[in-house]
Amino acid sequence: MTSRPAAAAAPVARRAARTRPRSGRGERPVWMGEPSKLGVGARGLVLGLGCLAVLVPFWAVLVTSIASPEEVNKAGGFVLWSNEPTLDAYRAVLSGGIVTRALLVSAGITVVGTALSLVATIALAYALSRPGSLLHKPVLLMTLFTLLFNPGIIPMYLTVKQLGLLDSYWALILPVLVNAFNVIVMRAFFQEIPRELRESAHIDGAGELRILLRIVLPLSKAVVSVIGLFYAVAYWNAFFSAMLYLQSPEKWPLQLVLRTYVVNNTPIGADQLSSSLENLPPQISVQMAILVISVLPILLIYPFIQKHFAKGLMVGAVKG
Amino acid sequence: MAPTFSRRHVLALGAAAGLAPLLGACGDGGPSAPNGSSGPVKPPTYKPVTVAEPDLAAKPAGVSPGYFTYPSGAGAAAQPVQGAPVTALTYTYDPIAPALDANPYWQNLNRQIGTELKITYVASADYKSKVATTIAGGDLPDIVAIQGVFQQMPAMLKATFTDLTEYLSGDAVLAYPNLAALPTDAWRATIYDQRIWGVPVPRARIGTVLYTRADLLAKAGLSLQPESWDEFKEMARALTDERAGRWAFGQIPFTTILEMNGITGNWPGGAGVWQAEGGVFTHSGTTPQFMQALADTVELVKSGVIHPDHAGVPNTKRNAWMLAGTTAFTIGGYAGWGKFYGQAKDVPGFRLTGMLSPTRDGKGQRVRTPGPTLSSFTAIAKTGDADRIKQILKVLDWLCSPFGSSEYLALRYGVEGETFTRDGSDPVLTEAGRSQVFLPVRYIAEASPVIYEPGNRQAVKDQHDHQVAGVPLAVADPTLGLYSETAASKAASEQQELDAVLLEIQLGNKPVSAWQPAIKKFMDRVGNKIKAEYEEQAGD
Repeated sequence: MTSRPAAAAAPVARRAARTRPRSGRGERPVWMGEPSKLGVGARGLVLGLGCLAVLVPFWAVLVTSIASPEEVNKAGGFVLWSNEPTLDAYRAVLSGGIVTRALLVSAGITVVGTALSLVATIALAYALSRPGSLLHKPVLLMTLFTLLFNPGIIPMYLTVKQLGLLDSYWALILPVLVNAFNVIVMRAFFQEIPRELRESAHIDGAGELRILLRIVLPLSKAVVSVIGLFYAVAYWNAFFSAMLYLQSPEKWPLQLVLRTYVVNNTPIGADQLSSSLENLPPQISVQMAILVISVLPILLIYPFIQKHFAKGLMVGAVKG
Repeated sequence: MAPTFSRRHVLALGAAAGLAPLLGACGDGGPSAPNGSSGPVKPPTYKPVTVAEPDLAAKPAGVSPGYFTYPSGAGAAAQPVQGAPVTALTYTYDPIAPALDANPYWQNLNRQIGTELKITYVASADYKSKVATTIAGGDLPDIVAIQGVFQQMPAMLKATFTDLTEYLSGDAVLAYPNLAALPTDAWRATIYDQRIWGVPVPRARIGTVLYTRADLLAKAGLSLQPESWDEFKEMARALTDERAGRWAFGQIPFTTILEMNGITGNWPGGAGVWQAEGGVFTHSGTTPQFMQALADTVELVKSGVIHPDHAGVPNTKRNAWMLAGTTAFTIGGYAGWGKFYGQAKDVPGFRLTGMLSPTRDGKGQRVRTPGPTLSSFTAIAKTGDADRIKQILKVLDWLCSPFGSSEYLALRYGVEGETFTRDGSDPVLTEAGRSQVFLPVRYIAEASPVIYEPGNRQAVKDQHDHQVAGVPLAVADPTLGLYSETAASKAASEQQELDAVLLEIQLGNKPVSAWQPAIKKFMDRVGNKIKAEYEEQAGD
């Protein structure tokens, strides 16, 4: 590198001149040398392989879900390229309207549940972030207690039953309305907000509710959206509580319905039913179609929240 | 997890090789086998009903009848049942069915039975939790499918369900002709403390099958039935070509090797491992033949005839290998046989047969590990109302209507012209019908299985041949009809440890000699106690 500057000074200067006006950021500092072609290539290769390791499984899932039965048989598993794509697997899953109905149920539970959970979590976290609030210590301890001790399946079931929630959608929301971990994360965030802001609002005559709505929440968009995503994903993915509490299969949310396709598609099921299964697409295609259907909604939401995501997660990281 | 899980449930979760789904699905055969009829209670009298003469006879005993086409002009086999709706809780191995208002198949069924069926069900994998919570909650539906063995099973049944002995024992069952046609061995698994607690959902006796791609063997010029261990190894080598990406097996054929050495058992899980002679029970894992089988297994694995990825892939993958011709064999429950034809409809020349286990030296008596006698049994929630009990039994009787009857058509195919059409006399489900018949009535009660592959005579013949050859070899499970509390409540984790050691030995990570201390530990901790419990009951 030492002999280079003299010979290469002109082109470097030219290149620098070309890049400078575009932006101040992302530009190579003066003290850094030119990267060698090999270095760039190697870095590109490593990053490319990394990306492939993430993308190829997704690709395989997608292609397998649309591959024809012959292709699946030939590959004996995942398919990477399909010459005769077919939507039979999706047709098999979506026929009969069960999955579409379950999709609506899941969407409803996720939207209502997330909204209620956020209201409850914000209220609790805000109260717990103020040392002087009513019964501060006992409530905080009770909240933390649930982090350590889980009631277990049967006591939960009995509670839900005695509250008359069996076979009701509320059974999927109320028992998991507040998650202690989320409360702690949000409380930590609220505590970071300078006390002076609250005090000045007080002096200006604002009550607690107004302070929460006008001062604290607007400053907490990052944590609210992250916690909201946590809740949404949890509601979206929940199947076990639905399995226990919902008696009527027509009320099942998407994940539970899809589960019957995945866990039950063992070679042993449906004995004596072989003849009627003759036209079903291969199991693996059906399973991959299910994967695509269940992942899609979360994939679609994620880009909109992503910018908050990194920021929100940092909250706990630095301050603890 | 609730404390009421049986060892069998844990086994089902720990599915590592071909047999676990079967174990999870079925309630018998193992050390935790449900229990029985050795004492005073008389099992229901067996009286078969045949609506249509089979093309291939149900002989010798235990073989399923075979039909090439659906019998035409079928008559009724049961009377409609009047009365209040019956609520049921059961499991399913299928996707969910449309709700009643969008399900003409279900509506038609309710109309024909005369009693409305209200069915709640969950995937079989979740069923234990569902039953545990439902029983704990105390709000039982009228009938509940009992799958596997729970801790304190006799006490739980007594506290929660109706003793059906007076309605079903001996000739009393003849009031329900289709129930009387269920095999006695299946009934045995519903008897605890000498009382009958439910109606079994029977299964074919043939058990686990070494599924064989007969077309691939024929192409390689190999016999479909090797006669000795040497021939077996030779065949495996001939089917393996690593460069071409072909192997003989997709999993270790351990049950086959055990049987070749003259002992039975399904591993992992250890179902069907108890042998009895003169009232003395022996765990087959403690025998010298088992050590020989381990050495044989290691030899087979080392010879490279098993797919290199065989450990740790799900059975669906192994089946896919077999369908793709990557392997020539796969191992699975008999109930899955028919499904392969649907999946292989694009595989040219596909022919599936079952291979029996040869004896080691090609001489002597061959043995076979029998399958579970039932998938589950259906119990009636505790009630003193005799009329209600009789009504429910009549509904169950209706659901057990035999192959060929008009009820069977309604149960399996629904409404002609709406959920199924005919191809000749064979019913073919329509696209709408296909999802509607997923309603799991067949996991509440059903008739004994038959062999029926519409439009595929060869398939019917191959299955029937395998049953005719294999069923008589089955060594009766001496624990059938016995209940061991230790096996139901304490053996699970010990069995898991044993399974782990077995796998390490099979893969060559541990020497064969590692088995002795492992099985000794098992016997010391639970095995000897289970043995004593079985021997005590068998001696009664």
